Amino acid sequence: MNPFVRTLVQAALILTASLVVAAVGNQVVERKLQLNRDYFPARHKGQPAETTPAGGEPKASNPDGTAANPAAGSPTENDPAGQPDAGTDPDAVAGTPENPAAGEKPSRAVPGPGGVLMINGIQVVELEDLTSYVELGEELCVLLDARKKDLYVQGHLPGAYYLDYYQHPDLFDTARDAVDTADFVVVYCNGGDCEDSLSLAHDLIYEYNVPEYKVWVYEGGYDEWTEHGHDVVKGEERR
Amino acid sequence: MTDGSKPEGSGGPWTLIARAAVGGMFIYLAFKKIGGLPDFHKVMKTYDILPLDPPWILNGTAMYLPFLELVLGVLIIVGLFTRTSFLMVLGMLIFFTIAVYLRGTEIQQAAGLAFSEVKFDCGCGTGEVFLWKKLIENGLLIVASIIGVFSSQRVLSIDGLRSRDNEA
Repeated sequence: MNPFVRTLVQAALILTASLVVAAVGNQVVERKLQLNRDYFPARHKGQPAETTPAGGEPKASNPDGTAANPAAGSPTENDPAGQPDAGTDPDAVAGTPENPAAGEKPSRAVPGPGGVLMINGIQVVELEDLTSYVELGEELCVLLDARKKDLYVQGHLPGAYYLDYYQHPDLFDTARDAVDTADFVVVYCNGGDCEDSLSLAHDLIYEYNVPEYKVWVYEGGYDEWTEHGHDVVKGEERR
Repeated sequence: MTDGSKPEGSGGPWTLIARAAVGGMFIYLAFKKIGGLPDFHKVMKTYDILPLDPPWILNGTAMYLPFLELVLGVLIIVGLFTRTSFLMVLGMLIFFTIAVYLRGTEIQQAAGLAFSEVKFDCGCGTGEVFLWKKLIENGLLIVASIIGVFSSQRVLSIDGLRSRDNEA
């Protein structure tokens, strides 16, 4: 057989065998991927139209890079802070302040209607407000940890439910009752560039029909929480 | 079907070293990725090479690549379809190395870092690594793969056994 043809045939066999191994392997691994699931749904939600200047680039929250005013009061059913995506640029992303304050990570949140900070249509809660909400108790504020199990066990916010974003279809039932009864549902991940909390928040609204006004993302995430010296819980127990 | 090489061929011990290094590294990194497919999937997204719509393109690639690496690593270690496996590995390494370099320089420019300071999760399975270390590591693997492609030595390999059988 011609060596070139032989190589092509062998390559085809290798690729096919790998496909079979992958098909079997993906059924066996603990943290699976689903072929047709959109794991980055929040990108379809642009920023609120009124916060996007004509040039298409969202404004920074504040000139010195700090986030704009915290959420003005509690959201209510009659005053949802979520925004429809009709008319917004689906490729628009939250602006990054040009001059972030020293030591602070630039925030992607921009002010939405009513002064509520938002990222891609999801309300953002800041650290100061979050610590207040957490003190209200689980009946009023439930925390969802969107990170993988290893990170959750190493440490999580007190009372947070483990809800790995990539596995949430299998895990959501453990938190469903709490999510349904709480006034605030706050989702967090590591913070920074991690988008799992944003994606999970999006799925809570559009897959599990959690009212948009109840869902918040804690942008700073676990990293910011621990950097500010707040308590964490280690292990699989929530508290 | 044989590899067309005699067992003793050319390449000396370097071929065995290349098989052990490349095959072993690919198997090791494949298992690291398979143990954390979502993490690999997220890192792949950061490269902006594959479209996010439709989702099956990025998802399917993340679900397939680690297992392809595993199969290639095993084939190289046992010495079956050795030259073809090395050729495929070489192609993958060249592509990945260019992608890692471009991604690293993008991070360097965005963060204003010196080249030696650039550190990020390249998706190779080892977590965050310094860009310069990863480029050196990949460079060595590329050299080893080239040795494997051009070597005709098939000691301790299934290809070698099949060659002997065909001659007999």
